[in-house]
Amino acid sequence: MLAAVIAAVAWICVLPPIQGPDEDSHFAYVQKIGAAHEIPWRPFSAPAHWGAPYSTELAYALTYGDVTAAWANPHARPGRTPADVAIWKSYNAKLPSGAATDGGFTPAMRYPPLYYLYAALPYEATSGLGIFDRVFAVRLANIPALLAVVVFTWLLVGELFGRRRWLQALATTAVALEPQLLNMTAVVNPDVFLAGIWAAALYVMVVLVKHGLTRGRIAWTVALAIASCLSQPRGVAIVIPAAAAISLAFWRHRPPASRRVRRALIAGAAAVSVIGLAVLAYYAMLGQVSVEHVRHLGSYLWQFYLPNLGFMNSSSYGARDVFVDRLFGGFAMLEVKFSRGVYTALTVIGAVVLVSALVGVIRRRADVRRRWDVVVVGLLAFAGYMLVLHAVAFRSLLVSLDPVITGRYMLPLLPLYGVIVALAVAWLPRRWGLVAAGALVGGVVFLQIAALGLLFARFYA
Amino acid sequence: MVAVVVIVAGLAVAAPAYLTRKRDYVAVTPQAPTFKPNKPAAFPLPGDATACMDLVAVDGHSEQARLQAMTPGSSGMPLELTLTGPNYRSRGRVGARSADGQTVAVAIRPPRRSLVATACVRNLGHRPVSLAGVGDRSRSRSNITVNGTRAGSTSAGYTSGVGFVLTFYERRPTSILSRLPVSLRRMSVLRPGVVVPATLWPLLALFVVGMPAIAVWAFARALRDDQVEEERAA
Repeated sequence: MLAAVIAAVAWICVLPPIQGPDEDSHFAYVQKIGAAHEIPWRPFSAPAHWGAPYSTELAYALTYGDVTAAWANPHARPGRTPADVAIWKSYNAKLPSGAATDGGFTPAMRYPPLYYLYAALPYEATSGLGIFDRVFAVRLANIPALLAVVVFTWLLVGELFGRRRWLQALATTAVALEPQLLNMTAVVNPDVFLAGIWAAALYVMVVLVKHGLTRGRIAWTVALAIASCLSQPRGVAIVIPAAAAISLAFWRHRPPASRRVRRALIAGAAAVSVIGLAVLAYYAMLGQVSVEHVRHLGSYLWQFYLPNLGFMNSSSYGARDVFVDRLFGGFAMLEVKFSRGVYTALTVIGAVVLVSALVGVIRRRADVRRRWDVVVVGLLAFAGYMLVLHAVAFRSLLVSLDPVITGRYMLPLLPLYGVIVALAVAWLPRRWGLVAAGALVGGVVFLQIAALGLLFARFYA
Repeated sequence: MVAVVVIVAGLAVAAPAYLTRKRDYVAVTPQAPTFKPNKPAAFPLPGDATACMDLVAVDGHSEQARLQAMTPGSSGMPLELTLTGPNYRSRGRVGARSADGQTVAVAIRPPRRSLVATACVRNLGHRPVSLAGVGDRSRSRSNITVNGTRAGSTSAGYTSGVGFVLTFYERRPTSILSRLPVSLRRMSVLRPGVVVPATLWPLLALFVVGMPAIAVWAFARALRDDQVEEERAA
């Protein structure tokens, strides 16, 4: 945890203010709550007359602090000299009253407000300071969410592998020092907050299924699912594993007595799954279900994970872009990247880890058979989340050719990544397992240093 | 042990080149080229005209100004750059010939300390020329005038019009290592008062040495705990 905190503070200091993905938009939301005491949540449409997106204070900071000009622009450097501060301060001093509250609508205001309500606390606490100080304070407030990811990954792996501390330490280190997680901790953005909620929820769900139903466990599962839905639209996907966890916990710990009821429940679950998939497909196709759209959706899904089969329309964005290039790179506003060679090396290492984890699953098939319900919850968490992302991405592709899914969207699944890393080494003979785990810990630490080095070079070299 | 070897080996391979490689070092970017490299706008500058950009923050490392020519062909483009600020004035000339799209450098005398200046580019020739311009999101805060007439402005925190590309570099390539103190000073700009070199140096040490040490220690400690547990169970 201490290593994660050190890394987080370093990222927050190195990444210049409001240089993270959509950080302007998210900060405008926080400011609307913190300064205007108004929740600007507009889930379905923008207001008809929404004026300038930012408050005058934020607009001045972005412009006179030379912030906007550097967005995703490797040639540009944001304000970095005392003269830049003097320019911004001279204009900031001329701000009229109400300059912090007069902002309009930004795209982030379509998101539900839980994270922004939380972020408004440090905003309020530092409301007497300058706007860049407030940005910094709101960024720091991401650290508890980061620690939630770390702690619940530790607990989750402990729950799945027993008291094997070295596996817990390995998985937790891999997650805690994952570069994109730290990058997003340094940004005013709900992604790490959502990841913290998912990490806690995944742990509670596994405990619920493994150890049985209690009011507290059900209440926590439901509360975390609601929190996820209220933090980010993507967070709705948690309903799938949460519903499965509660159902499976009932199934295992209070099984229905009659065979007929059991069959009816299975049929009901299958029907709900089919209806859910149909609703997602309908949503993905903008409500225009046609053979062409179904074919296009199939081609998109196939090519996301597998190679183009020749007769398909080419799609240039796939699993490697999301799970490797954008999860282990693409910092600041995505412009800070490792070289292709690094991503290729990470892809190879990732493939080896994945294959080794599969071998681990096969070797522990007796455990898997015995605890199939826990496995189902984990798989549904992954598959359900990806399904929701694909539905949104395909919908977007039909309109704008933007594939939408990016690496930071994977942060809620990081505890499962930790589990995969642990699975990959857990089955190895002890000596080799320790060597592999040591190499992974070293590799993760090195990658973390290299990632921050890259960010440092982008803004200060 | 393996973890330490991997970290040390990785740093031994990557760190020397990263830290000591001489690179073109940016000082400040009053107007960087657009973030969409294929879509530069043109900033026309008539013959004998002068374009000025205000709110140019320069510092002691701003030793070389760079402009970007966009006049088609390799026709002559004699330009003069003047920087003026409080108790500061520097002037430099661009050579008469420059190819389309080429970046041209002008040596200037950097100020002793960071200050706010106005940069003016004068077309010394009689024929119109074009500089690379920026009219999109990468447009900076500066107001732009041509012969005193407003061509691009900033109002209520929002920019309009087209600015011309003007960046400042150090005269010679230099390394990240040699500029580390400067970088940490730059890192404290537009940050809270506690983020200053005096706190950033320890943070840097904590990140490069402390963070890896803690991660490795935590892993080793976990291994030891497991061993103790196993011995107790046995």
